[in-house]
Amino acid sequence: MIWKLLRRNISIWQIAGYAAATFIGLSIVLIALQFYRDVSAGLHNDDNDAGGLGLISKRNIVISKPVGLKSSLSGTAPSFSDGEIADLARQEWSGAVMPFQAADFKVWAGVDFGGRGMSTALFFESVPDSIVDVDPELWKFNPSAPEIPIIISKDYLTLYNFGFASSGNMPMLSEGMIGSVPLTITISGAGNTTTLPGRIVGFSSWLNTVAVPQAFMDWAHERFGEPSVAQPSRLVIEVTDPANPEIDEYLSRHDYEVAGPDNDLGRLSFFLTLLTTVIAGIGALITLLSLGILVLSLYLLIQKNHKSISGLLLLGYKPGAIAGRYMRLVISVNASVLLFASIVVPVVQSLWAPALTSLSMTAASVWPTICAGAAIMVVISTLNSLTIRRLVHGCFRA
Amino acid sequence: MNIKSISLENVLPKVFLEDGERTSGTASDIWNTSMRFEAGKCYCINAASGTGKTSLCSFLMGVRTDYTGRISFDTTDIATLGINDWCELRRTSLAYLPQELDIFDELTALDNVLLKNRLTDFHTEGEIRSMFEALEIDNRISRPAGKLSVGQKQRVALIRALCQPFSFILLDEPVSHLDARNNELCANMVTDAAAAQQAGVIFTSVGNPLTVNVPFISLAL
Repeated sequence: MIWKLLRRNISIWQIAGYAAATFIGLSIVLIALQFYRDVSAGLHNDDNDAGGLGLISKRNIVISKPVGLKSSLSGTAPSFSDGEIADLARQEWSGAVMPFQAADFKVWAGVDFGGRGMSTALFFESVPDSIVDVDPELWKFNPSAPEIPIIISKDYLTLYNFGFASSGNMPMLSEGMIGSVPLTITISGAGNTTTLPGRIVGFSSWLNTVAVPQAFMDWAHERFGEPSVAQPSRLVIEVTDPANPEIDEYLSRHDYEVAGPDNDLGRLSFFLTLLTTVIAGIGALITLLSLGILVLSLYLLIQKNHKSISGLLLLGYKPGAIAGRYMRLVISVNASVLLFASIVVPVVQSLWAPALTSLSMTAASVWPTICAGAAIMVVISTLNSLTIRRLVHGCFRA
Repeated sequence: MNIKSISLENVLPKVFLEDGERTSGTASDIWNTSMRFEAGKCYCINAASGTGKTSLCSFLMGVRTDYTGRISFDTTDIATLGINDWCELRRTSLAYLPQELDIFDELTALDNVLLKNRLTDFHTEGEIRSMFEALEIDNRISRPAGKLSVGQKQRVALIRALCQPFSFILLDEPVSHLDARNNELCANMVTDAAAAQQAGVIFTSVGNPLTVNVPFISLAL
């Protein structure tokens, strides 16, 4: 009965306009949020190394200094000082900073292709085992039954296959084949020479070296190395936040060179964030404008129904009971808006999901996005309720 | 809440102050003096138009606060009452028939009354129907109130005002559109209800007072 009085002057078109505008605004905000979450989940995902065998987790970058005239003449690679390493480690996006350890002994590698032998001078570097993403069973060195596991750059294989092999009438090799070819490694230094079997256990698309396990390097150093304290010329940095745009800025400021594609990640992430912020901002603006429309409509409605409301208050109806009717209406509209927006988000997500899959990225769950939408609508409903309460209380006094 | 008395001390509508009228208060039994309405008694406020009788009702019902001086229900200054206190008083202690009646035209005569009675649950629907009969408007009971005459609306509003317990009932020109016979029917219903609750009756008049058959105190505004 009281609703019969209060619903008078409610404009269905105003309510529908508010619902439509809020729905559009909220949907844009939530879709932008979902898109950001989907794509940034992909960008931050360790399993998505764009190439190679995923040997080194994407969270690590390899940096070096550019080789200039001075280092060319002196014959020593530009190295990192202790101070520079400490500064790198202090950056908020960096975790552990680990040096490459170069072998200070001579290495020859030989291979036997059914009687046709080939051998080449080689070098070894070791990187910390923790960042090498191969089966630990393969990546170990046992001095009592020595066999050297090796990771080489994928580029070396490409060079061989399309350079040497095609022009030199040699067989082309696949990654699988190489893994099964036994190598003969000869190392010499400090007056000693030995020959060990070796095996290529993996290829890296961007770890630009010939890497061996730390255990082997330590073992070999002891026997063939010269005692020295050379500064490292290449560093592996464990990046805790690969999407941080500061990485790029820091590295270019210090004129460091980065191996691998990771230095694009920060810039990409920056543009992604910018884009989604702009879109979400537009959605938020639409939502805010629709909120403004609703406040005006409510103001008008309660102005028009002022006589009924003050009449009811004079009979002893509480302002809360009257405001509650309007709140119920607005909250049910808001709930429907949220419901429809929650349906739209997964539908729209399914439009870009195939594209994500083709980039071997997995879409993020929509639930956190819907929860964010619910939180937004709770805030909006609270604001609406406070407005209604204030307006109805305003009818109490003449 | 049971109110034994309503006291007014030097009360004057602010609008009079602004207009520079009535500052002496000599001609009024109510404004700018010290007086008291007591439960169980009947008061008739005779007033010319524009002397502030509706203002007085609005002050006593908490609708307006633009007065100087102090109004108290027993010992409570009504300026200290909050909105919820007023809502409570309007359901349990203060019955009111406003001059504008505040009848909702889109509801039927009966629904207008039930709207109030639902809050208080003071009468049964049967009792309400017999009140309509007593005031001889039972044939209009299901009609939209918008289609009733002013005199019929006054009687509906009176029945509605009586659908609650009260310590005082304020009637602002309750019978201005009624003939002598209907005036008497209404007066009897009001005085019976007031007597049953030992309540005070305050009614205003600009020339057609409620013809109560009980002693009443006549006051000039």
